[in-house]
Amino acid sequence: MLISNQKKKIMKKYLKNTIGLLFCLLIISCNDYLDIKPEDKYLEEDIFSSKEGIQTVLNGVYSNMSDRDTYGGNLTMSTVDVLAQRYLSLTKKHKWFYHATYEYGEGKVENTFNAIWSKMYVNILNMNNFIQNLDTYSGVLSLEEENILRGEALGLRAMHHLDLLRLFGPIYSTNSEALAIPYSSEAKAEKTEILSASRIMELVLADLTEAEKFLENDPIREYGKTESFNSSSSGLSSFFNFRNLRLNYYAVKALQARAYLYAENKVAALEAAKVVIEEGSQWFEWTPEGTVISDQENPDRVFSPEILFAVRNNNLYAQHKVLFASTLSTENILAAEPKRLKDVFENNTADYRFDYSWIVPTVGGKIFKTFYKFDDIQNKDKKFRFMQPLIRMTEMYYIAAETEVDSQTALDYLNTARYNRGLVALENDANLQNEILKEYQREFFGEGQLFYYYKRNNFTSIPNGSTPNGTINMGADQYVVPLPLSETTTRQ
Amino acid sequence: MKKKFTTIRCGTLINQVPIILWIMKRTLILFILFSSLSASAFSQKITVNMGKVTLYEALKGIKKEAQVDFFYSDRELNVERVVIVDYKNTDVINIVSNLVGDKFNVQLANDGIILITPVQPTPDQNTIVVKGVVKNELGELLPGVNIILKGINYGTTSDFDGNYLINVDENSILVFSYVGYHTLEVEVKGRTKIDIVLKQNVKELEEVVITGIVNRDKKSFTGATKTVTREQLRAVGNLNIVQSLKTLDPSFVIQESNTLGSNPNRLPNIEVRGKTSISNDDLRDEFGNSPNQPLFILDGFETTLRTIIDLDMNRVASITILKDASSTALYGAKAANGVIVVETVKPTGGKIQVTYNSDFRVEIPDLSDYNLMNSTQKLKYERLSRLWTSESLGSDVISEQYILDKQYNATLAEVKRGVDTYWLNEPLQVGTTLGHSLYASGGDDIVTFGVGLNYKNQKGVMIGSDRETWGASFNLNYRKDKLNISNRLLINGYDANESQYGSFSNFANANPYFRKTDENGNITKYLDIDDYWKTRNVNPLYNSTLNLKDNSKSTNITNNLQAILTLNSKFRIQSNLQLNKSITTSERFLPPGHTSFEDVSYLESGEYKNQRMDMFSYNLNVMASYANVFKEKHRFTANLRAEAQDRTNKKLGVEAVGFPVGTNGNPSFAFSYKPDSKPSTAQSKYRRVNLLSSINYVYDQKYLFDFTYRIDGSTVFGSNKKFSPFWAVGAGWNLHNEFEMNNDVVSLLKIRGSIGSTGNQGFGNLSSVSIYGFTQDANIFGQGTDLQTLANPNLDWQNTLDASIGIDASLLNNRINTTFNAFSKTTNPLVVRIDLPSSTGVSGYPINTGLMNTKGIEAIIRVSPIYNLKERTIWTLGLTTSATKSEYDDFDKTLETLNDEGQDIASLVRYKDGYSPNAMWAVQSLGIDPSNGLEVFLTKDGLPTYEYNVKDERVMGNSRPTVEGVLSSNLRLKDFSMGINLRYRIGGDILNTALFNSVENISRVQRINNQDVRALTDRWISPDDITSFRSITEFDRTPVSSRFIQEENVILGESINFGYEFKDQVWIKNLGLSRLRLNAYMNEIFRISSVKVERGINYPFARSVSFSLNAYF
Repeated sequence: MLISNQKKKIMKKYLKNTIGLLFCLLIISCNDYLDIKPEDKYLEEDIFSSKEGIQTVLNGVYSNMSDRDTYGGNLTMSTVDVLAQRYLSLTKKHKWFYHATYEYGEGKVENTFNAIWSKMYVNILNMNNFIQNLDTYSGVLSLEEENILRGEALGLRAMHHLDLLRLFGPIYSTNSEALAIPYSSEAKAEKTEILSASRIMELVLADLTEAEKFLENDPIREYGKTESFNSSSSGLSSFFNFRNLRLNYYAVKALQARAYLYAENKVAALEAAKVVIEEGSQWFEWTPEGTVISDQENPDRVFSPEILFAVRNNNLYAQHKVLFASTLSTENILAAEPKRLKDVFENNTADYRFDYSWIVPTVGGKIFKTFYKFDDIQNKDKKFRFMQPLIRMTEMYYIAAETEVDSQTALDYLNTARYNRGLVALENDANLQNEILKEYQREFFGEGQLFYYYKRNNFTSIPNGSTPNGTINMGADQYVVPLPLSETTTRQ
Repeated sequence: MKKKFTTIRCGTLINQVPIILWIMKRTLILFILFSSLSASAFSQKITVNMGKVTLYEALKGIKKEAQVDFFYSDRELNVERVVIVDYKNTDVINIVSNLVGDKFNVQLANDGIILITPVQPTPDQNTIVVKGVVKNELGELLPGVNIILKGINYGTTSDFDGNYLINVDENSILVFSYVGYHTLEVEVKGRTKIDIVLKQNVKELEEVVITGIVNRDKKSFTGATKTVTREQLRAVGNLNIVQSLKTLDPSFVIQESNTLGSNPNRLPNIEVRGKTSISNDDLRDEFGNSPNQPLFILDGFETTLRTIIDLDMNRVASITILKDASSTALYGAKAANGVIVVETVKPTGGKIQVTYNSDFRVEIPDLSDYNLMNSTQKLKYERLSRLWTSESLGSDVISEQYILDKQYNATLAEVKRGVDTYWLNEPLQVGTTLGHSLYASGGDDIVTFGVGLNYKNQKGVMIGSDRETWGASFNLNYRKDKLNISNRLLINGYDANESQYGSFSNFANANPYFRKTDENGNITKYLDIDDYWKTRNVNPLYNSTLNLKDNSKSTNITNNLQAILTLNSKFRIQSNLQLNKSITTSERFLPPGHTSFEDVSYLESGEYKNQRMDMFSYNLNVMASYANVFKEKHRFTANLRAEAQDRTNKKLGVEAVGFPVGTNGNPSFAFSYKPDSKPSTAQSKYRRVNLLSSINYVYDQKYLFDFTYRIDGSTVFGSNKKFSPFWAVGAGWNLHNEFEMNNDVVSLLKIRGSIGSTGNQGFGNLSSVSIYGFTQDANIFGQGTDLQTLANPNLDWQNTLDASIGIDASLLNNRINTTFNAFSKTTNPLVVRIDLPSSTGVSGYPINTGLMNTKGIEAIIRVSPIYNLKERTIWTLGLTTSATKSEYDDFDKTLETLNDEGQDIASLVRYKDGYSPNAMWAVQSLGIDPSNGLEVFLTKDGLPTYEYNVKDERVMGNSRPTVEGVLSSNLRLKDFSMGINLRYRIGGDILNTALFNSVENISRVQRINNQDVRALTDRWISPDDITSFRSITEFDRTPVSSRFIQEENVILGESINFGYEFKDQVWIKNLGLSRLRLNAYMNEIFRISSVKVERGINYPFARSVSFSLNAYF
């Protein structure tokens, strides 16, 4: 009996040990064991647990904006400008023929707009997840930094939606209550309702108001678009350099001006544009004539000092080669109809947007001018290399000129802008609205704004890019791009 | 009693004292009784009715009624027990027996005394204590061996260490029996220590169920399983394990690949009991498996299909297919598609034993399904299809027609000259496979070892396609006292090449009126007559003259370490650790002269790709087991097991382009990396943990219960659902024991059933958390990151509820063996990747939706009309059959986008509630209108129309056969054996791709390719032609309609084999052999099908004849 008891004890000990061992294994193997971190990717919580990580997420949004499917191509240099009839595409063989003829049902065209739509919303998803996680992982950034980053993200979200609205939405001036696009403000895998254009506009403006609030203390207002923050006096890191490559305070105000004008609120548009002009001019000085004309090897054809917001597009010069290079075949090149081009610039060689961006090439056998605005330069150290302009100061002057009630002040705005492009001042009897249109035609080559200008003003006919003199009839069928199938077929 | 014996086992004097007293007492009583005992035939019937009384009262009553007296010991018989007495006209002895129970003998002495004695051995003064150890031939200790005294229902069982102890008469006979082993009778003859070696009964090995986690006695197991031995596998064929396994069990189905044919490097699609998942491919990440593939377990650890296919068949000890919840729930999260458990041979002790196996296999390409035109027919077809008629308009017609006529005549002249090239033969050869395998094992009681080497070189029927596999294994086993440690090291790998001839379809397409070579016998780059076609027709032979390379190599190292600690007869702890590392490299080189670089600049002509995959995994588990028998009839077993698993995969690939002509493909000769490319990489890490408990309870060998519960954790699914439970309950009833059936008539009759839930993890990883990755470009602010995966934290595990019932029967001394199973599997919810509106920014998002139900029955019947073990003559006929039916439900239109996509790409698959995943959707065709050669369709409203509209589609067939199985006959005549296995498949529908691609759907451009003869003979040409195929001049794409879906009934000569074993011949001994076995096989030797369709599009099928030799030294 004695031994039996002893045995029982031993047994109990074994049992205890066994259970203990298994229990340990279970504890270890629980949650922690299963929370693994992939090596070539980051888990959300890792990336948002450090300042640098958070910055890379926002930078990822800027980086993806330079994708050729969105602001690095379709929304600037190619598709949207093709829709504005800027380029020649005579035959069906031409790569952009069906885009230029607004055949939105054509497979290739459909793909283009599907790519724009999908990539834009992927960007928006990234911003939404970013904004949400700023709350979830709050405290990693200082409040000051967090405000700036949040303001940028909100502003970018508004900008993306505004551009989607301008492209896929109805003609706002006649049909603002028509259904337009979904406004996505949450990172979730659920569809968002398609809202009316006016409702989208409200949301865009609301986001911009928010963005403005958060960017109240944007360092640009104190230091300008500096290149040399280094955690010195300002306490800001180099991440806050180059504010013109980020959606800064003035860019947000400029977007407000753009949006209010599109929503036909001229008073508010003027007010916002004036803020940029009056306060922003100290940081965004006019481009000196010399940097465009004199420096033959490194001309600043994008007028970089005036750019309120640009993205850095590493593929900018590759895109130039694919879209505009003189070596491209006539079926592939985007080049303006020679006579039309001359007419746009009124054959005024003093306009330094003309002869320095439009050159008769020495290679490729083209006997007409091709587009050089986005060609690379010799000096690889120039800061304006790779700049893809998205919002520029001149647009504020045009908006101010268009919305200012006092005709003399309005004319002054336009003349200031003209002066800085090498043009003479307009007389008082000039047709102001027509001159503004001409400026849009000259100023925004390769920047996509012209099509939206036509659409905003609902011009029923616009110059036909493929002919020297003809026009093309425009209406909802041309101005309103249908939502892509990837959206509509999955919505039922 | 049992308790007393176990006390004795402690072996101390103190403990033995009560035993000795007990024996003395018993002897005394019986001595008195025996002296007055004699047998009697006396029988007396009485009627008593006393209701509830104590046993004492009852016996008193009977004594009065029957005028008898009782003799018993109230120490043994509990007379205070309450019994019910209510008997009418019953024999006194029967009444008493009934009252005292079966633990007592009731005997009537002639003087009217009824003796009540306990059922006991009849020990006398010569009772002795016998102890010993029971082992098998391999030296393994056998726990739970039944040891009984012959003639008496009295005995014991061996403990975990194989030790037993029993007190018996010195002249009695002990009977040792154990499942899977021959029963052994041993005379005690006064010995006190008898060590026993039981011999394995190969036939009975099937009676043990090896689950890979615990081994179970089949008679007490409630799961639906099938075990096959190496011998059975080898009797079917010697190609690989899965090819043989499909013949032996009807639930194990290999989906025939019509494109890959008999390519030795293909990986087949395997299903056990049908599908459980929707397998749209993007659901898996780079390293995922097919979500319908069963789980493969090799020596207790998960492994890949590739490893199983490359495994040397001679190393296999047994394979078990676990089919239902009761058996698969042990593997929980991954078991929904069934589990294939492979055990390899373990080293045996004793003097060194050597086995050598050699396999030789010949494969002959099977082109009988090709039905191509000869050159005369081809030219006629071209003429009728207006290849030689100008289609220009206006004034060009005449000049163009002139050129066409000229060329036609030149071509006709070639045909007349007898040019009729048979291209199909060109890339083909007789494939040979040669394999060697050597295994040696030996050792002593404490240490045993086994060393194995194997090599196989398989050459496919297309020239240049081959597969070399090799392996070396080293097993070491240490056993001392309570500890058993074993280590198995396996190093293996392969080296595989694809044919430089490329796709076989190029040869089927080549036009027979072209010559292979020019007048000098050189292979030309293009096929042409009179320089008319120029570069349009590539000579399919041309690329084979270049030094193409398409090779993959792999090396794999696996080490399994196992330790078993036996604490006592009831408890034991076991732990296993597996480490696994594998490296796979694939290289592909296309020389610059390759025809695919026709219009490519010389700087980018030639292409080199290299990809390397690294995998490392570890797997650790610990298991505690408890087994005990209570009151002799309650057998109870319980296991508790915990496991952790980690797997890391890495992939890196680079591409280089531009090679000078004549280089050997060394990447250092490349001009550059592929422009705009960067190295492709992928990395992944999986982790899993689980806790498993399983309980088995058997009452009196009659009623069986199994219960399994497992919790699985994994990194695969949603972060809120990291853990998921799986369970199974099973019950069985051994009817042959319940009704004490005659063992010679019914040796096994068992009904069993189980229900449980299992999971499926053949999906990708990491959908549970949002993942960020680097953006394409960096900018002035540094790098950027963006969302690569948006988390679905609520994604549920795919759960399969599996209910199964079955009957196992073994009749007439194993002459008839049958198993019937019926099952129903419901996977709810399914995991499906769907496209959300693109404005969400999310694509291919995994969601839970819908369910899939698969019902099925399967039967295995084996009957032996001749069964003479003495003469070693056995003839067995077998029939296996299975039928399954699947259905989707509850999608509720969530997958309409997938359906729309399916319509767009002319797929036959739709996801619709109430329909089968194997349903083939197409528009019904009414045939060809004889008046105009146009196809007439039937609309949904039943109206004929020329318009094809996808909205009219309906189910036009089902790709799964109604019934599929194998008919077999196996004959054994002494040392000679012969087997025939014929597969039948009835009622499945197929899309006849030959009709769809080679009879119709020949575009204008494809007219120059060779086609099925029916494109000439069976197509509509002129009005009133009654045909099944559209006009010969119709080149528009034909949509898939019911015309191309045909019911296929097949009979396939899967395996025919002959074998002979040399054993006792003098020359065998002279060669130093103990046994020599020779086998010859014919696999896939014929195929009779009701549908004529080209098979083996990219690689032809083959018939094979093979031989194997097994020598035992």
